[in-house]
Amino acid sequence: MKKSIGRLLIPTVLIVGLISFAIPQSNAATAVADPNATITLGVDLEPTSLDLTSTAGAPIPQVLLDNVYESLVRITDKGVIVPNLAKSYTISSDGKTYTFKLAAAKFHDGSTFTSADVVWSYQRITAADSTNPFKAQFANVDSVSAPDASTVVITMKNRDNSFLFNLTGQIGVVLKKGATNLASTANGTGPYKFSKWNRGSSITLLRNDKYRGVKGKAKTVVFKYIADPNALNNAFLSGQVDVLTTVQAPEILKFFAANDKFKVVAGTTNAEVTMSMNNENQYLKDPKVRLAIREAIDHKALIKTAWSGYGTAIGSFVPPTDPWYEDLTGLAPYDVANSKALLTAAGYPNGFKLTLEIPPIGYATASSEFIQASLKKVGIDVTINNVGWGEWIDRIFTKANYDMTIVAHVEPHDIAIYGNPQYYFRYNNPQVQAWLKAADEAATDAERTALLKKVGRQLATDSASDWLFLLPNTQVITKKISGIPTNSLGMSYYVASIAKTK
Amino acid sequence: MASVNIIVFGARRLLLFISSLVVSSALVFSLLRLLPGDLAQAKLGIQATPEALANLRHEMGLDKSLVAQYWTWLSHALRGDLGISYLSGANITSEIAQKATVTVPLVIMASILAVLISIPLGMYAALRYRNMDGVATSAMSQFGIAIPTFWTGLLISTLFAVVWQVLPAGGFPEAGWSEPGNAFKSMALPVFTLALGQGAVLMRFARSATIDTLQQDYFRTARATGLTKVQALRKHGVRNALIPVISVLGMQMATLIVEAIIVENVFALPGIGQMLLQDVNNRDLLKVQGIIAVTTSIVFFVSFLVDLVLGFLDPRVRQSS
Repeated sequence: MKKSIGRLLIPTVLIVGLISFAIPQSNAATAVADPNATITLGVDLEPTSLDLTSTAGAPIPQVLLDNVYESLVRITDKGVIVPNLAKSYTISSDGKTYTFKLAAAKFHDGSTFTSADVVWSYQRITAADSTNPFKAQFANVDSVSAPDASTVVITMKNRDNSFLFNLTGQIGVVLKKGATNLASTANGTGPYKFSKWNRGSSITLLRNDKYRGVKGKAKTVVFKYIADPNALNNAFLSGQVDVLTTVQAPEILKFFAANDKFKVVAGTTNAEVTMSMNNENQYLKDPKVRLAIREAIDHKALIKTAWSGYGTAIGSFVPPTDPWYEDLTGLAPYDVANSKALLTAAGYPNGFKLTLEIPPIGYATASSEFIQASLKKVGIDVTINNVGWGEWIDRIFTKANYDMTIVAHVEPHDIAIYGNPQYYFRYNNPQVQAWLKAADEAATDAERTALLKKVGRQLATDSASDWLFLLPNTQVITKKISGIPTNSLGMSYYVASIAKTK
Repeated sequence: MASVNIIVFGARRLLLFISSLVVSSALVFSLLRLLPGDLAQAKLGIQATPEALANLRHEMGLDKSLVAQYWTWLSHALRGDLGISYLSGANITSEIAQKATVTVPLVIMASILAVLISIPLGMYAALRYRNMDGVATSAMSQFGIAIPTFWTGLLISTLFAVVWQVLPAGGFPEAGWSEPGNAFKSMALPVFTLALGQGAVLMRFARSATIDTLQQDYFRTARATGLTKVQALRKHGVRNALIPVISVLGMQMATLIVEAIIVENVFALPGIGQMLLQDVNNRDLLKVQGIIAVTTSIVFFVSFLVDLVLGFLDPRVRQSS
């Protein structure tokens, strides 16, 4: 031990440095999945409530959506929408009537699932006193009705091409008619039953052996919540946790990758790490200035420095998994000379001062100093200001009182936020707004895709923001584990396919 | 006369204790309201519609005046009802009580261990303060004060849980204290970590109090009666060393609670500290307010008790107040 004292300065380095001799080697390649297994998932953020109809926040749908609660449709790990509680559905040619034929299913309390449950759940969202955080996704819904016990018809005020996709999210979950105590318990129809919430520690799910579809592979799945990244890593290394579902310090990954007891699983997400530039700021309102800022940043080097090379460079607000993606990184290449020329052309040969507001999250902190140094080279003097989330939401997000900030926009298919001139970007391009509206009402997918592609390109041309990189979805598992969801494209962490060998 | 003195002294302290509570609760309430951010927005997130936000503000009573909100809260709190969490819908009093089953044993065990380590070591360092081993013991305590708790915790957890795999890296048994063996195992490393930092601080005070005693006339007189240094110390030194240790322990109560927050996070212990940190992050103001009210009451109560004990141990304290 004495020899490694010098390394103790950085605890994480110490921890991973010791793995190689800490963990006994074993080989599980030939073993078969254990149907009675208990799988423990190490997760950083715990839900604040189980009520996903009245509380926002990714941790709730992560554990409950598709596992305990189900919607009429579901999004797969590949990003495809498939029927779920609806065994089939049709959409009228004007896009205004959705007819869902329901599957024969039972709630975990034994009662039969009927169209009345869907109508009750969805009318709760549109009700006048509703506090559903995603109510806006149902803004186009005109009526929800049930012609018979196994059919639901939803009529729309306007064609809404995002509607079916939105239904795959937490707004679409079907509760049992009249359900209460939503904050502390959950009665769903999914492949796992909610068993127990040990607040501050874990949520336990048990396999629903009466599930109508493909049953879960493990008997028990525990979401173990450990907020401190080092404590989470230690829990994984000491065998208390089977899956590290999030790695917040990517520099640690190479140590896991080098150890054949573990496997690093790298997937993709919808989370564009966005450096917003307030389009109403006296300097940033000029697209030339915004482009100059983007060209001053070497995005590849940024990804290496800030996120150990695990992110993907994106040239606009579209992840590569969306149909309307195209590689637009070439529109703002790293070019310091051109960046300076642009600033001179805009009337700022001697630069100016800006404040970069950093919320308390890894990717933002990790990127901030790199950006400060990059912009200094072209004469822009950046002050880094650390802000808490409460202040961020109030001053920056709601009131748009800021110059620049960094945050990852994790919601899928969220390009439409650039169509709202009051959004904190304060980006106002009527052409983009018109294309987005047309895309929502487009008659075919091809037409919609073409329109959204135009939007993506226009955002890049206008340098509406800078998109630093797409966050990767990196997880670490022990060799006993298989079947984890690789990508993080929807809101749920689907556990039914996860298996563990003895 | 002496007993009247003690009663007057106790009554004064009690008055001070109650008024501190009222002032601190008003301070906490108003300070938390000064923080930027909107509770309804914190719950509904950034996609919420204005109508949904307005509905929720009404539901939470946020549209009432601050004074009305404070009065509602205080009148309920005095009856032991800290309300229902805005976010989780859980009863705050019972959640704090449940988490206290982790934090209270943690803090008590760590305090006892810290006293058990610090008094003998402090007295030893004092007796040998001119020798190498005395200086080394004293230097060790400086070291213990200087090392941040989270770092000690990480190191201890890495060694015992990851390398040697003898104790769990963190967490607490799902069944709690009804699994006493596992519960104590989960507590061992956190208690040790917490006691180490506290013990180091207390040891400094035990040492200087003992050095002080060694130079007193009464100590010289005791030695003159034929007692050895150690015998004389045992008779006259322990009580003198105990006075500063107890008053410092009382003052350290707030620090101890802060460190418990850190230790609970490093060891993923589901206690009050971990809950507080989570609630601050989630902006669950009512719950944060409840937790702070309870912990400050405990801190005030402990210093009230310490005052009483000191007044009992040392007549000079009674008189001077």
